[in-house]
Amino acid sequence: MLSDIALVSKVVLFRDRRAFEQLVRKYQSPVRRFLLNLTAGDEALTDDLAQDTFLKAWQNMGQFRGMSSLQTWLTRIAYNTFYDHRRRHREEAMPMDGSAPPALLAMEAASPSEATAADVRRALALLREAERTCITLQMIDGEPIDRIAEITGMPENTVKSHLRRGKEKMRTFLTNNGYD
Amino acid sequence: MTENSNKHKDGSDDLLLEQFFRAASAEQLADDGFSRRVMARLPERQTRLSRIWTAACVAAAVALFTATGGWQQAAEGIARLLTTVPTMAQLLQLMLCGAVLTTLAATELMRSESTGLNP
Repeated sequence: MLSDIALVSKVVLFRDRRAFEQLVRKYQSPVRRFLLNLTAGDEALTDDLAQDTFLKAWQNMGQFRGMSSLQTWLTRIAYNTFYDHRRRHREEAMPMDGSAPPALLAMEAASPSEATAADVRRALALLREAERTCITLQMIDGEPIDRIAEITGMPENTVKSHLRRGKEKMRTFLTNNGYD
Repeated sequence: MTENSNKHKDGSDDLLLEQFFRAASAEQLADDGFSRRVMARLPERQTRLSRIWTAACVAAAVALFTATGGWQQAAEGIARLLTTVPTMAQLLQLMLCGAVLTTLAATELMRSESTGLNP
């Protein structure tokens, strides 16, 4: 099994599709999970955005410097792709700040783990976008604050503020829904 | 005392949040053809360029062949071939050439099928 750096080198130097496919297979789950949480469970939109993310990664792989992990680099592309999409479709007014979107409410869980994941997305849908992004990156993806600042381009203090407010809302949600 | 109990409450709340998000952080999404869809959308710039280059070379070769009277020479050659009886050695040479060309074509076809890059 080749390391990420070896695979990235093959993609950059030889435009090696098989090497790139290995990277896609390895990172599709964390990238799609991150976007699924940002879109509050919209699977079709997540799939489109994740595909765009990997296409951008293919086109710009030469810009990956290895200063951070490949997953962080891909997450940053995914985050920018999501926000580009939001800016383009702002007029459609996706009901994501403060109320759950239709895709989430229509979701029917097929297993206990899916039910928990659905609960998590229902909870995340109550947050503002910046709070949701920070909470997702810290609580689900396990990223430290400096890495969240790197991915989102926000100052660290802003990230901390979003995390504090997001966690307060989450605690209230959990308490009100019998999770304590 | 109140401060201590608040800290304790915050600590248990953080634990509650961690437990709540733990299942989501362990969630592994199945590929379900996602990687295949991504690979199908990758631009085929190199393939397109090579097709254009091949077409340009073929056009130039045909033009050169025509300009130097190649068609007439080819017709004369075929006519000569039809009027003479080939020897066994010539037939063997022809069969050998055909076998080599077929092997090369089959190898190239199998290689492009296995890499999935067959346009």
